[in-house]
Amino acid sequence: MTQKNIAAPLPRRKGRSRGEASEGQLAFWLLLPAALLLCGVLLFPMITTIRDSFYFNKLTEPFNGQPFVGLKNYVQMFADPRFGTSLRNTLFFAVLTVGGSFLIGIPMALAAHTPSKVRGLARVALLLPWAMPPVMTGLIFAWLFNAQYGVFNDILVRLGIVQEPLLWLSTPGLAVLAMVVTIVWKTSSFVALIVLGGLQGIPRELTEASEVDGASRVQSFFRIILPLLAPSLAVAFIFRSISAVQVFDIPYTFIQQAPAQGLLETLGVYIYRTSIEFLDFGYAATLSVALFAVSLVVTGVYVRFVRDGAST
Amino acid sequence: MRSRLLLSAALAVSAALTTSASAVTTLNVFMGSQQRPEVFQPLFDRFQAANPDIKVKIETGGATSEAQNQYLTTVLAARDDTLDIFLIDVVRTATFAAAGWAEPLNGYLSGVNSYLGSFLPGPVSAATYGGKLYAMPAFTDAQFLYYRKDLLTKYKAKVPTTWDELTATAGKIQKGEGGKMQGFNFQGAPIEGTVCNFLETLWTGGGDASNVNSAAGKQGLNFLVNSVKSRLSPAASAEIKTDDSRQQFQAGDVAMGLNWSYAWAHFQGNSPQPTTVKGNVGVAPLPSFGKNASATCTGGWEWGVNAYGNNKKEAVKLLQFMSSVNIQREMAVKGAYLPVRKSLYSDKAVLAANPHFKALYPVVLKARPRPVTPNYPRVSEIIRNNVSAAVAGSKTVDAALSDMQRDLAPLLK
Repeated sequence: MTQKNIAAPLPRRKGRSRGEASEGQLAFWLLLPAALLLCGVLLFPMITTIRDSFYFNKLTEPFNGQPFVGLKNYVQMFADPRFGTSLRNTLFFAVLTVGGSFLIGIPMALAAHTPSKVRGLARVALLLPWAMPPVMTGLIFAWLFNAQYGVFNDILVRLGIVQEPLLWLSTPGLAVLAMVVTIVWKTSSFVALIVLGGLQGIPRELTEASEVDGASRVQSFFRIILPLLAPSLAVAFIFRSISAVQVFDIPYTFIQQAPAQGLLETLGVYIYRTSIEFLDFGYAATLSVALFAVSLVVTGVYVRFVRDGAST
Repeated sequence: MRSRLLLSAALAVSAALTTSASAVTTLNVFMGSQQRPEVFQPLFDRFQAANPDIKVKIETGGATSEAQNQYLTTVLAARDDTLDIFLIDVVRTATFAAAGWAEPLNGYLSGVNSYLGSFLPGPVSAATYGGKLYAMPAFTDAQFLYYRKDLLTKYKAKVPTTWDELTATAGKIQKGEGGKMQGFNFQGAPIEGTVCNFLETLWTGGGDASNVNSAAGKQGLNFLVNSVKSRLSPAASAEIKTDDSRQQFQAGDVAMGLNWSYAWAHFQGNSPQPTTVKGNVGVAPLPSFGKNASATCTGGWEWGVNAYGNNKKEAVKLLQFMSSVNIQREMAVKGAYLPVRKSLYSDKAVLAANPHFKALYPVVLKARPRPVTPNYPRVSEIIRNNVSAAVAGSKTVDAALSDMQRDLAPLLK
């Protein structure tokens, strides 16, 4: 094994330029399909969307053509109260649901990691919400929160906590709570899976050693495990944040049951409505660019983290 | 070189198409699976037998009006010519017309005004935009007052003709029956049924969608909101959708309720759920305020012809066939569809299969379309969200109406 490792570079060094060129060529051809695919499904739509954002394109007004309007759509966007509301909602839900998914996800990962009677159960519970399509999650929870037939109201009324069924979906504050609960339920398992991976990478000797030295379990969690989990937590945080600002499916299913005075409308939902329902493709493209910019900020943090992580 | 190649290829293809077209034209008809293609297939078969040079193919998709609309939007925005005819909800006419997706039919129908004279006015005006007919009414619908005949007899009450009478009668029944009995059931969730329930109470007060923040608007919305506050209607009314209303009535929990024509067949036992109200259901026009006329929404579906399609003449031929007296009669008898032709509401065969159609006639005759505008999706959203919020009690009636007025004004000017 060791001999091979030493021997291998030698012949390569001889024909360095030729070998590297052919290796580079091979890499080029191997990467080409993926690069083309990425250009087709990512770069091309991205460029057309940015282009469209400078044009007027309302399918309900074909007689106005599709003229270039410069920054008009952007001016409209910054004056549009609904854009402000949906952006605020998006960030508000992102903060609550990312935070919530960590509060639930980390204990879930610990339960699935630590040998105990509930470990098997915890591992199944951890995968189930993750594997469930978000639209289905939204529909199921909308039923659970239904005022007349919902399970939650049934429990609350039976326990005597409330006299009358709560209008979960049509009372703005409760609707926000219901949606946060749903998204946290759905996304905690993603955090738990990544954290579980991190936990399994921590050598047991470290925690055992700390226990031998007399540390309590709480102390060893906060002093040993948590610092070593930092890279996994950061990855989970960034991926959760990116998907949180782009959230669409669950708010979209909820909003059909409950408008909650616009409190549940995220930027993703507003873009969908503007394009597919209101047929205003120019303005929808502008809103998409705004969402892209928000995602870019989050991704920028991620790229910086990965680069810094690699250099240290 | 490349363009020449493309050109010759295109020529070859079009030549092939024309030769095959002169033999047999295939019409692709799009409809939602909920529109019961199995009812239409035998009718299309008969059309094919009478027109051997035309073949009709059904393409189904989308379980809801929204899902079908989403599909058609995608296809038609791409100027796709594969579909020839599409079955659309009456509220979509203006959008499809303004976008240039639906072909105006006036040029294809000789003597269009006399031809349409025997149709119900509601579906025709719903299919008309800017003075032109953009779709052929397929079957109509309206919202009706469903009531329990047995309960009215038990409490010696008459069918209410005003909303005040309804409140009194339904309240009496609810009090007498107790338990889960709802006096009055309507739709308050953010859906089309809710838009209609509000417009109906607005219209009967002499109001109009372009002026909702008015005495008529207040009277209408207050009626719905007060029904919930007084517990005549369920506390969860703001979450009740059309089919919830239907199921609750069918379970025997509702004395009087608003719904579309489809509920009738369910109540008579043609339904996945058991019915406890068979034979005890009556249908009447919606009540009015005081001496005003009753008002209801036009519903139903219509056939549009794809403006990008290649077989428009043949398509219109099929649509004329579908709206002919014989076919409309057959659809009413076999599928309980409300005909778009006036004469069929006194037709023996139709009334034998659907005795209640006689009572429905004065209602569908006077049914009014929702605002006909290409911006209807926005208009609908503004109305349904505000009405639902008022019914939920999370917005006052005054705030809901003034918000509606503010947002509707630029769209309905």
